[in-house]
Amino acid sequence: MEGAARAARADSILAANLQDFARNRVALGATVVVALFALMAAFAPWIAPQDPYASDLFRRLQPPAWMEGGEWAYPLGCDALGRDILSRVIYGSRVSMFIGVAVMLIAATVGALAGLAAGYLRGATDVVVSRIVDILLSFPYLILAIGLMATMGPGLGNIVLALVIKEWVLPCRIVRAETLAAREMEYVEAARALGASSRHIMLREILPNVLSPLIVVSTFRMATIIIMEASLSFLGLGVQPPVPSWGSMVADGRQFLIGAWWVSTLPGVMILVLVLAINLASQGLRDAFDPRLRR
Amino acid sequence: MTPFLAIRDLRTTFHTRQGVVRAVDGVDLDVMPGECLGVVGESGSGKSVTFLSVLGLVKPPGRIESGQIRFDGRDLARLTPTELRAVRGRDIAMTMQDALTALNPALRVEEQIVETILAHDRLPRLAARSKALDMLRLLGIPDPERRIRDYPHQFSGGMRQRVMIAIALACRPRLLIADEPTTALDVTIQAQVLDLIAAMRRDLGMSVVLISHNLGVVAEHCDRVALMYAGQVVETGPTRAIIDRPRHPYTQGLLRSMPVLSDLDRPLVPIPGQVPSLVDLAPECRFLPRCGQAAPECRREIPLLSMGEAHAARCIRVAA
Amino acid sequence: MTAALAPAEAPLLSVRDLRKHFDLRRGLRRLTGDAQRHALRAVDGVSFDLRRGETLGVIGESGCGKSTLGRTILRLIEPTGGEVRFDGVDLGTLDKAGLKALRRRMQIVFQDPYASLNPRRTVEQIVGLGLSIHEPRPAAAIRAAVVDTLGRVGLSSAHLQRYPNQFSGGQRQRIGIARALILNPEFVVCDEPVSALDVSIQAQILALLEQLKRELGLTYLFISHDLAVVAHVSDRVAVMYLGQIVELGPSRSLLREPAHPYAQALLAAVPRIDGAPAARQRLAGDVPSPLAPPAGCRFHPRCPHAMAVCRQAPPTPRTIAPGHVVACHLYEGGAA
Repeated sequence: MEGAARAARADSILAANLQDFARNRVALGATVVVALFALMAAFAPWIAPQDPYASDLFRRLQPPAWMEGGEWAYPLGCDALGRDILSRVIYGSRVSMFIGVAVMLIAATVGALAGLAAGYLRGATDVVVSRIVDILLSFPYLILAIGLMATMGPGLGNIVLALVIKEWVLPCRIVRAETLAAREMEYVEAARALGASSRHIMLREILPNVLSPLIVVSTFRMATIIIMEASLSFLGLGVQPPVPSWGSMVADGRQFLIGAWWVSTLPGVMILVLVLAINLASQGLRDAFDPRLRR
Repeated sequence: MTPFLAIRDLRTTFHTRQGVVRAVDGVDLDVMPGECLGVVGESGSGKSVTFLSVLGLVKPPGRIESGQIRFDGRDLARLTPTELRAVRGRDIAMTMQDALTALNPALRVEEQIVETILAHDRLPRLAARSKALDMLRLLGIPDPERRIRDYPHQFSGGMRQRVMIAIALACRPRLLIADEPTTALDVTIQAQVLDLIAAMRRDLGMSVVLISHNLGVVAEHCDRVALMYAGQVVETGPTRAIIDRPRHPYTQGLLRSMPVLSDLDRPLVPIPGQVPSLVDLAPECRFLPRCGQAAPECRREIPLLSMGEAHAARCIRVAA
Repeated sequence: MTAALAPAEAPLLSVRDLRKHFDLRRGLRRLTGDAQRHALRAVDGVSFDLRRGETLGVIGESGCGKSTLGRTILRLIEPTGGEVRFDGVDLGTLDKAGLKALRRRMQIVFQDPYASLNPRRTVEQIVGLGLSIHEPRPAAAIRAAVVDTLGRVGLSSAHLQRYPNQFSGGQRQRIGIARALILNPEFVVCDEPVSALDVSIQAQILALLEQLKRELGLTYLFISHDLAVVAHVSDRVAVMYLGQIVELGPSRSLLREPAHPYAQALLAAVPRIDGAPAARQRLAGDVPSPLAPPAGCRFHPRCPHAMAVCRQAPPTPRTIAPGHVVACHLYEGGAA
């Protein structure tokens, strides 16, 4: 259908993919949800009704506003130290979003560069990169992260490091496989025939062609990263108190689950909603970007 | 003589994001008993879609809008999918251009041929197997007892094309539609496969439709030719008449642009421009933008105009 | 006379005994496996000269090594052995910088108009790449040169910002030609440049290549499986079979009276549009695997004239007419 192809007036493949994405209502809705979380994180100090660190022992385990004993100044109730749960949940989104985005970006960059080098240069580079990938893949993710956090000690930077160490592997494998296919294309040969450097070929010719799968896999992994951070914080290895993190908030409320269910439940719901939204959005991206699923 | 297969005013469209692609737009074609009809056209001319429509193999977003496909007294366009499936294989078989993707890579050749035979004939399995072996032998595949146990990827391109023809011929169809059977093959292998189809036609007394982009291939093997352009038949008639006295400017242009070994001094004259988009076609001659002999009268729908001897062309100059 | 001492015309390209064997052993097998048995002899001892302004057609079936030959000459693939001289310079002696400098003088046009253009880059980026590598200059200057080259191949500045998917096969091939020509090369390998195109578009591209050759004084190595196409564009034709040239001669005489039985069979297999086909000899069987080429003459298992000697010794190339060389035992006795 050459005629049909020419009738397409989309400027680039990327633009066409994004048009497809915008047509997918579920994915679009999910993206809006993720965006709301991002806004919440960015503007936390302006949105939060209370100081998330201010404890008031008279409000210890105060129920949400709609229940008996609740008040609208503390809409979602208070935790064991009498801190406003809504404000802490809002501030907690900062940790989740920051870790999710930071780890995703660093891992995607490192993985893409390693994958490009391994797939295009082949030889010793490929052997070294592929062996490191194989070794890292043989470690269970959570155990590796727990071990690293226990060694390095808590802290935001250390969480990022502990997760990136394994997280770059997946983008690397995807990019390497795509690069292996792309390097055999005649347009790569044409660039070599013109005397282009390996650097040019990897970054200008091949990278744009492997960007779609990279974006898809990275957004998909962001959900896992957020769960990993929550798990580490739940175990007390992540963000340290009093900084609010959804994982540590769930942990804090465990012992009151019977009498004061809201302490654990609300941060748990937030994790669920954000992870679900990211997954739905990334599925939409995959449908739009993967030509094999195209009708 | 009544035609064996008669296609009347067939219209098949594809509903795409860019609009409605009119891939086949009012095609009339006849296939006589025992004849070999060549269907020639460039990519996007609708030659393959026409015959996929005949067999009910057009996949969504493609759709047969209208038309009659009379085969053996029945209108194939009105059959249910189950009835059509019975016609495919038993009465009409089609081979595809790309044998590697058309064959199932996970099944041995044996299973693929035997299953096809069993789907149409109530035979004991062993009898079906020996029939399959006969077919492979007939098609010149060396050592068939051993090769029948192989998987498609273990065959070379030419052999694979033969396997596909063997599957197509396994149920002795009365009509074989061969879609670009040689395009993926080298010239020496191409000649072998075409000779083979010609021999099968003689021996089995079947009709053949040979779809190709190569007028030379068709000229050698077909009694009659239909040229398609942008979803329509633009010229049809006896092969020799069309090659010696082409009447449609597209046919003339095609012949002038083809390099011919016997006349190397003749300069090649390209047809300017490109095939039109099949979306939003104006009601006028489809070749108009590329035609050197265009006139104001060409700006309307032109029917196929007969000039005797079963030779017809879709051009106003035929009447003049 | 002094003129007679120096050859009137030194060849622009001179290929001697060029070989490319692909090692098919993987991983540890490279240390243990039998190198001979796992070597795919894609190009196996090819020699020819190419004069400036000439077009040499290379014809053969898939797997005969014709595409590998073109790429090995350009050093897109490292040769296993042999010598390639371009304008007197032995490419094997060049370092990375020297080779890069020479790249602007030798270019390639590819077969597949889809795979050969990067789908994520604009026409301006694709065509301008050569200039940005060899003559870095302001974007506006590169753009002007790109527009100029696009004009040569029948495209215009309106196409600069478009992506390849917005073009038809013929237009894409024009873009590929523009990319190769922007550096004003002297020698261009055309690797099946029209095979993927419709017949009516084929003639457009062939005419364009002819016109560019005249205007820019180009020298072509024109690789194709289509005899009629090669015959139309070439001054001389080389017929390849299993990695070797079996016959090389002026295109008219070679195609009128092919000497090698393989060339004869190839010619006989071409479908004719003019009249009924003559009773012709069909080649039986498939091309043998280049992994284990037959001993002696490589064509002997399929050759209708095979003799005892053909199974034992490879034939040596013989000149049977001025500039017409054949490697076949049939001509060894007669011409000697």
